[in-house]
Amino acid sequence: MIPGYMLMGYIFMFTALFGSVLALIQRDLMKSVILIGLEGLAVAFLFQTLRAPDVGITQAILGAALLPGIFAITVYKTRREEE
Amino acid sequence: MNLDTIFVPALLVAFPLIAAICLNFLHGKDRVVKAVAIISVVVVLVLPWITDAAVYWFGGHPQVENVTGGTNIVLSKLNLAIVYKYAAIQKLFIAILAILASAAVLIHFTERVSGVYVAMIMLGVASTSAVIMADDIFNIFVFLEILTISQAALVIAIGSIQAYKTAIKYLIFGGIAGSSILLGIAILLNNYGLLNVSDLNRAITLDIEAGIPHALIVACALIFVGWLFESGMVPFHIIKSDVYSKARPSVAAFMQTQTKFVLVALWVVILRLFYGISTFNALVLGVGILSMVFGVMMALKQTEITRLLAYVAVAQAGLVGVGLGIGTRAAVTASIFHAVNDALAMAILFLSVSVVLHITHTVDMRKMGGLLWKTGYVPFLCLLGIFAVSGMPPFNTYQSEFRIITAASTAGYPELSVLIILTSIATLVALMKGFYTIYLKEGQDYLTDKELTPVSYSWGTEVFMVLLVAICLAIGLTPQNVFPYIEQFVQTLGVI
Amino acid sequence: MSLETLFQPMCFLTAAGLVVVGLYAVIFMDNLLKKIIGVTLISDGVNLVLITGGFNKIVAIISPEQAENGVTSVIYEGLKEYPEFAAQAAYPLPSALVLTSIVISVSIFAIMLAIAIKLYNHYNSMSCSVIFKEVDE
Repeated sequence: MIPGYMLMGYIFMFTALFGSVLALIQRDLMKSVILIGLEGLAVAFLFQTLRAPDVGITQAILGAALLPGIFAITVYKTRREEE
Repeated sequence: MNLDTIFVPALLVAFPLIAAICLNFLHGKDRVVKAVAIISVVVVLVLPWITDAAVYWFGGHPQVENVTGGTNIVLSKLNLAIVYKYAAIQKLFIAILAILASAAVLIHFTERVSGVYVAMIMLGVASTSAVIMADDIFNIFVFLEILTISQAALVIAIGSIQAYKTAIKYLIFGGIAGSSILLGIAILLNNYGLLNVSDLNRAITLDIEAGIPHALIVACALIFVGWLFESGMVPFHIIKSDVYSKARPSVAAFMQTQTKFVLVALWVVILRLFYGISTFNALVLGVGILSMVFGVMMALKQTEITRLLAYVAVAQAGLVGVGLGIGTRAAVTASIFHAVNDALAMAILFLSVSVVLHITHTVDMRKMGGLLWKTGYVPFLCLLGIFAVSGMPPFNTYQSEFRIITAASTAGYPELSVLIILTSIATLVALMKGFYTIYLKEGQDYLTDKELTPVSYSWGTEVFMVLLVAICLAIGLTPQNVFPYIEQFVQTLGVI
Repeated sequence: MSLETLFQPMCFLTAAGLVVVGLYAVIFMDNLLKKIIGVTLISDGVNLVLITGGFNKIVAIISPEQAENGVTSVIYEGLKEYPEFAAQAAYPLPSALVLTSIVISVSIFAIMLAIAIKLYNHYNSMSCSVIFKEVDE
């Protein structure tokens, strides 16, 4: 029987890959910023499943909250649609 | 109370970092910034000389002996902490770095006062010193990233749109090259569980007796790509020369020194880890030759003076790479010596250009001319610098280039000797063309109304140029003061 | 091969996928912001490689037989009393490295985005084919 955390790990892997690909094919840059945040969050949870909880917390703060935040500021200051 | 408990090698990295943080916070208060900057420059200049040669273990964790580590490999020794090694050659590198950093800071003060700018120079000093001294690959990676940030910031400080474009290109390439190095480190860590270069050297030596594992080759390739970026070798020579030419010339003199020292330091690390892979030296030799030839050919066709010097700097880095790639003990010694000499000689030229740009406000050589009797001793010193870079006899580069050529012939590459001599001649031609257009050609319109009076310029640059010429001549006339230390360093590597 | 033994290889594959997607974005995407997103994906992938390597006994200051006996090395004699923990614990060194690496990469991205805004203000476009149009000699 597969442990629960591993099942969650597979879901997070799928989310990370899928989120990254989806982020790149968006025309609307704000959507791709949100998806990049989703990818960062999935990687953060994946770190937690891989028994590195301290890295998971840092990644959740920096990679899933701060980085999309500054990306969003950039999109807000420039144009939203990709030409 | 004895000195070696106070002036430890870690201070060489820690002090510039602290100075950078202070200066960053003080930005805006010009007088305070100036005072703090000059104090920290003096300390940075003095520190390498009063620090004793030592091996420094962070946290005081000593080596332990006879442990089982790696994949069932019994290591005789294992370092538990980050290790910094500080000996004669590191002292030489860091002292030269400090001189050029102080030149960059003080020449900057003749124009305006900016705390952040000086902070970035201090960050550059700290990170390069760490890369030179550290014996721990992750530490080297961290400081290489900081080096990339500080160099990009010094380019951004120009404020032109071209500078921004160069900086973002440099950062994107730097991010990818840094990730490449980190991936190589990850593979090494997964296989051996170690980060210390000496430990890894021992573990890999035991491991490759049975044959070279594939993971090792992949790690070598990944770290090699990072080395190519950091040293401005051939696929990255365009972006590196862009960075040199967009930054202020006084800071470009500092940057090319950083690049050459990082080139040598990182190559030493790669060699100690991957000396078992036989194609590695051939790769280094190949990119060295390519960047030497490309660099000097691009230099010949430039019309902007800063780009000309930038490509000459890239070509000289390529020459250092050629010497390292030949791989015999004599060649490696000679090319490390050449890295030191050439960093000093190129700095003279960059500083002379900083005086010229201060007057002309343009980098286009077609709009320059007639400065020969206007700028004091600068043209004369510039001419000496040109002779120094292209390897004329009384100067230091003659000593090192001669040794590289001899080593190439004895190692069985007589063609390389011819190529190196041709490169020197081409370098001389390109630089003399630059000298002619700046100083000897007919005067241009920026001189017409004040044709007879000397143009005003700061004499601080001249002092540094005299100092650098003096050091070049001193090393050139008495190479026995420097050369044996480098020979000793190459011997202690134990892998050539 | 059960899903349990495949977990670590799948993590490596995910990391490789992130690196490949990121490289594709950096090389082929036209928008500057998407290029920067590509660099973030690459650095995420590399961090994942490091952490995954530390997950189980791949990392080898613990060699396999020693881990079965509950001994990691002579330094960690105390771990003998907790054999289950010694067999399952992750290698802590990669975590320390990744913490540093995350912080550095975020600071690099902040600088990149600031420059991107400056470039947009000048060219009124985020497209690389517009920004890097004039090829300088």
